[in-house]
Amino acid sequence: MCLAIVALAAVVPSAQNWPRFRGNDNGKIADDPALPETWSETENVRWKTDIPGVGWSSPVVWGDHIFLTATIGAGAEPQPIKGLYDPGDENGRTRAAGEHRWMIYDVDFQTGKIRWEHELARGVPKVQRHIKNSFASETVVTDGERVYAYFGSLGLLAALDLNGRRVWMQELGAYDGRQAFGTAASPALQGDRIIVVHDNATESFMAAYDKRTGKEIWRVKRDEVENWATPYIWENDLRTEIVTSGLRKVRSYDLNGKELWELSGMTVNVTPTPFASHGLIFINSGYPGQSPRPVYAIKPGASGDISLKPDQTSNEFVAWYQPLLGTYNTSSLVYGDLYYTLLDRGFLLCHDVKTGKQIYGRQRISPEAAGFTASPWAYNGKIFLLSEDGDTFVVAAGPEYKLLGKNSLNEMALATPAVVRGSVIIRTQSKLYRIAKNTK
Amino acid sequence: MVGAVCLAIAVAGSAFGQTVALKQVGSFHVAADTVEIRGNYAFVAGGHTLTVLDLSDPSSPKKAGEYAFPEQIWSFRLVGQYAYVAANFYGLGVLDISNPAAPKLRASFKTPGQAKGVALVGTTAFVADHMSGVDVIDLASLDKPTLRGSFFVDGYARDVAASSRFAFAVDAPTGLYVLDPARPGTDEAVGQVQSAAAPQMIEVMEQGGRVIACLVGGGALQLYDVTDPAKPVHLTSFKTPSGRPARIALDGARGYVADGREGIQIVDLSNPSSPALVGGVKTSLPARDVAVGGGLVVAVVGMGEGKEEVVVLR
Repeated sequence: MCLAIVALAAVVPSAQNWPRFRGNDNGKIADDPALPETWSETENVRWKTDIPGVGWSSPVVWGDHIFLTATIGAGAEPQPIKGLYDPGDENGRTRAAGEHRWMIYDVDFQTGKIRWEHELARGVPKVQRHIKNSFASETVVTDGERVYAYFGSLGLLAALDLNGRRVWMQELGAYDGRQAFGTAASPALQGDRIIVVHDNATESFMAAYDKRTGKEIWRVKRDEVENWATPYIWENDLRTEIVTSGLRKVRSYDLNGKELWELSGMTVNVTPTPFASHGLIFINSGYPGQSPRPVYAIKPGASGDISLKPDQTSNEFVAWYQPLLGTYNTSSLVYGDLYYTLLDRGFLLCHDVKTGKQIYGRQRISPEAAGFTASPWAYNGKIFLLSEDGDTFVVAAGPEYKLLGKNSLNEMALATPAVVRGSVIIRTQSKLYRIAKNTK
Repeated sequence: MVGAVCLAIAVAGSAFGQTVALKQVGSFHVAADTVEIRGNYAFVAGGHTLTVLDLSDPSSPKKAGEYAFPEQIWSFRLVGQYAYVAANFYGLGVLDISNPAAPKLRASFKTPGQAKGVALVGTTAFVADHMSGVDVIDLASLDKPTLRGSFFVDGYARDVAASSRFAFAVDAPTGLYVLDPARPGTDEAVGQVQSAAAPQMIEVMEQGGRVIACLVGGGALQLYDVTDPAKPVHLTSFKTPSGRPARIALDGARGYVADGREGIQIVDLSNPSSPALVGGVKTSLPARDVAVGGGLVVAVVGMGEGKEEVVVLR
């Protein structure tokens, strides 16, 4: 009997759907022996498909539908450069002069064929972008009835049904951020509402839209100038709140847009997405040219300003704080009782999720790695780290760092993969892969 | 070329009663960001190109040779018969400059990110790399440069310098690191401080058993005693007349500072805890870099728009 239970537990399938950036559990996937742990351009590839255009948005999956976005430019696009770098006098800004088409794709999970494509708009981008960003960096979100896409570069929020027909579209306004690096914060789904945060140099706001009609329900101004972090819907034991990470303030709002609490002390260029685990929400920022680069673990129930005072490392609502653990682009991962930090420059660190105490310090993953932007994910006792080279490094989960292997796709990759039903869906610069164990 | 034009000479007194006077004796228009002197030659990096100027007649510098890299040169150092060049995404380039008229690429090594600074300890190159920190490259065989490892720096690596025994790196925003070549394979510095003010470059001098690091950035020269590599000690920060020093060249216990609109300022560092201004010269355009050697001071002046000038002072 016991054996039978163990066996049943071991074959619980991985997630059925992956409806948003980082999935339902912030990169943590239920163990599933069917999930692949090694792959290459040819090994364990169920299919690979060329995706037209440029887009760093992550794939999301519902049933046999894989949704992702891109823009197709009329002319040659400046090629992104891997890693963190000093981009020169223009600070990496680039303005597209030619016409672009903003695309949403539905790829068949079974065959890899593009089931439908929807051109949401065409025109010249209204905003600039960093050479390493794209005009389609926001990940769509879906509830299985519709797919909701937001393009900050165009200021458009739209809903399509699963057949690719447009249900509604809202124009929210397109604005450059202070550095004109483009946009990337994905929309979030909360009940019947789509939550959009657009921090920019002109008119920063957060707004809620009716997911059935697109009608704006509320909108609040935000005192921010640019951020790239996706808002997080935190369903904790006390309430549901919307947590937004930002340069000037981390802010939490109730479901009507009323501010609940705020926290100061972030770096510039805030990108990692907040996420919750173990009854805490984790917030970080880590522009490498600035110090401190904080990670905060926040308890539920806060109100007002919960910022740490100088020399404090915790208070009533800040459970723990690490001053130099913040990441630039990657979001962190909690797996088991451990908090894993993937530094963009290719180091993995591990801390106790409840206390913030270091389990192991910086471990250089590979001297050859160009850098990391995709967020880590985990299953089957292993942590997966996708580098910008398209190499996924596999590391043993647990209190000791051990590199187990490397799976190469040999093409630049910034998007965070989706993991569903025994498959890893990886987007590289030009392709979408379904990685699954070869059962032949 | 401009002839022996005498610019306004600013002379300052010092606690030691020294004064130093300089006057411009020649100049040469070339794209220029950084400069070094070797014998009768000035080596000038501007954009992608390292240009060699013959200073045999300081009043009439002449172009002797050049070498163009595929990427921007951030900085370089001359050691022995070689120029070690930090060339952005190209990585480290090693030029044989034994024939200044025809610099020849002898070796190269692609670092993970942008190579921004380089220093040599023996045959080991330390390369400040924007992405990876400080890469350690074994150049014992120039036919086969080998990556020995990388040192982590907390922020963005900006520059690196060397004493006879250690390498020293600075990063943005606040770091000074002491790196031990005898510890390859480790990521960690043997000593560091995180209190420097926006250091952009570093030079090191050894005087009477002491090792002094001179950082430029944050509107000042920042002097650290790094004799004990595990415990760098901040000695003082010295504000230059412009408040915006760009780079420094060391000559014995004297520092020549490219001090922006205040031209070249000369600082006595014989007591590094108490630097003293001992002279200087206003340049016609803001000073961006400076080199000292062979009885000459060579400065790069300009606004950084490809219209720079190399000025020879004596």
